[in-house]
Amino acid sequence: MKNTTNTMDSIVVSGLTKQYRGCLALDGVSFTVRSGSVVGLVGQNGAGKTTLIRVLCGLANQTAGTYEILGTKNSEKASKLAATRKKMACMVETPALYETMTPRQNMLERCLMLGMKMKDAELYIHERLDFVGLPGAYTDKRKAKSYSLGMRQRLGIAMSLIGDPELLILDEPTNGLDPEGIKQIRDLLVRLNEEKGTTIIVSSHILSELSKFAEEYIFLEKGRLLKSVSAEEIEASVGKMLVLKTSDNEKALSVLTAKGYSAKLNGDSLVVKDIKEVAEVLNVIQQNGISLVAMRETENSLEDYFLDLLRGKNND
Amino acid sequence: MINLIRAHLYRVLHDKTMWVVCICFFLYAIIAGIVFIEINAYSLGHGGSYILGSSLSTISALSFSAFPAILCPFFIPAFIGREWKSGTFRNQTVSGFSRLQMFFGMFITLFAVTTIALLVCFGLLWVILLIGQTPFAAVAGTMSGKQYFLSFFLLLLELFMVDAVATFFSFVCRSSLGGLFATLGFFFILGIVVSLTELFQSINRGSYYQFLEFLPTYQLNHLTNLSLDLAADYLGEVIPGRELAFSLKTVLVTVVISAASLVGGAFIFTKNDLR
Repeated sequence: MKNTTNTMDSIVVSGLTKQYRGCLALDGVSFTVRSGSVVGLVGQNGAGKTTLIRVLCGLANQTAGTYEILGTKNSEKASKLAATRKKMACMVETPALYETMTPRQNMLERCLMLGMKMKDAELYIHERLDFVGLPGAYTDKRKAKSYSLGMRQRLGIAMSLIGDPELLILDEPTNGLDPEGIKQIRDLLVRLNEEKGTTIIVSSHILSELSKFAEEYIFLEKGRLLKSVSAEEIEASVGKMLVLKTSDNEKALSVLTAKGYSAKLNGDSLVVKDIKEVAEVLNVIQQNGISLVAMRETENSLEDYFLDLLRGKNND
Repeated sequence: MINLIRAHLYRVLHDKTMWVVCICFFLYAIIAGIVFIEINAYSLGHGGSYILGSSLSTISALSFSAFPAILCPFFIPAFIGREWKSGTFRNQTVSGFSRLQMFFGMFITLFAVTTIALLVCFGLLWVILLIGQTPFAAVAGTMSGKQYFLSFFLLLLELFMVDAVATFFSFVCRSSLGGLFATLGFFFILGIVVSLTELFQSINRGSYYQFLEFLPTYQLNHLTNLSLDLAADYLGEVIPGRELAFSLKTVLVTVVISAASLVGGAFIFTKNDLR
């Protein structure tokens, strides 16, 4: 993620602040989102993720700061900014659907809003519902209110895809979905990004899921930007983790700590973090006369990285 | 904004509230028509006085028009409230519409729909009257053609004002029930103020007559009853040209209330965050 503005940036946020009746939901957040990238928005509850999305989508007015979406600054004419928003789509928290209308009617209404002709819209709706795995919804006479949470999420995403947006912002899109549904949505987003070059920002609590397709991350905490970092940078910084069982765990701990490794005892195991070469660790242990009983190698997850970030580690 | 209005109209057609309103208008037109024919009445007021045996004669032939104005405060908050409840204003924002376009797009749609419903209702009534061969001479005897036109224009203005006020409260209260009760509350308070001015007038018509003419509430009373010069009726005075002056003042008051509702509503909607 770059900090400079250029024509390839879909979003440029600078010093964005949002205050709700004395509560600071966003506090001087600044970041840039490269065009065509998939960005994960990560933060605990109340970190300001939804507020940030709401401001970017024009649902909330910022208290201070500026932002630029697809080349249009928020300070420009309201009509110009509104026209730019036509090129983006968002789904905030829950899909915005008319409960008493069928899925087809909901989508048709959105198509008409975007200026499509009725005939074209019908074809388009069919295609989009297929795309999100709801092919039967086109002819379904049931109202949207009778749909399950997962189906509503899919329908919401299908509605967001109307008009082929250049920028797609989704707030917890996999909420309420079963594992298969989560995978389908993930595949769908990846396909959308690869085939159409859509810039995608996804906020999610399921970090393991996010780490499977996000290329960049924006970490928020209590309304502040903790860090914006690329997936490569995270991979490079976190390294591997070894869970060892040795003949003398305490001795192994002191030896490894003396060698500069980040190690700690966890029950009857010894956890060694941020390892570049596993063989080096094993050599150190064996050279000190400690025998290895069992060993398990794991990847340091995005979750660990985030938790470390919250504790003040990984913070440049 | 045309696309937005198109989308709203599509939703209106698929909204059951609208169909309930249409059915109410339809039934009302039929009942009114039958009453007109059966008792040879030239107005609902006339019909009411015949049926109830009390004097409601001050209500003019077009008092029939009060009905749509009563129905709109129910329909408009229900329609706009659904947008708030489902959070679908978000869709309009990301479809490239500014807040002003969203507010006025909604108002224009609802005014157009209620006007069409009103015209259909009137058309139906007139067809019923024609079939029943109601003595139009009786109706014609109560008002001149010019007065009828003026009354109908004032009726549209009344509808415009009611729609504007209902839209304002629906956007400000952000719920169907809130919008409904605030709108009804507004007109209820207005009604009390109007009644008070009427009370003053009835105590001493002569002294307050000139003064009351200039009170906005008094003008609204004229608007509601659609009798162009009540005071002149009471006093038996006919001053040429004064009806037009009254109408102009009535128009002015209505326009002021409508404009305040629309500008205020748009301003509040623009400044506040959406859900």
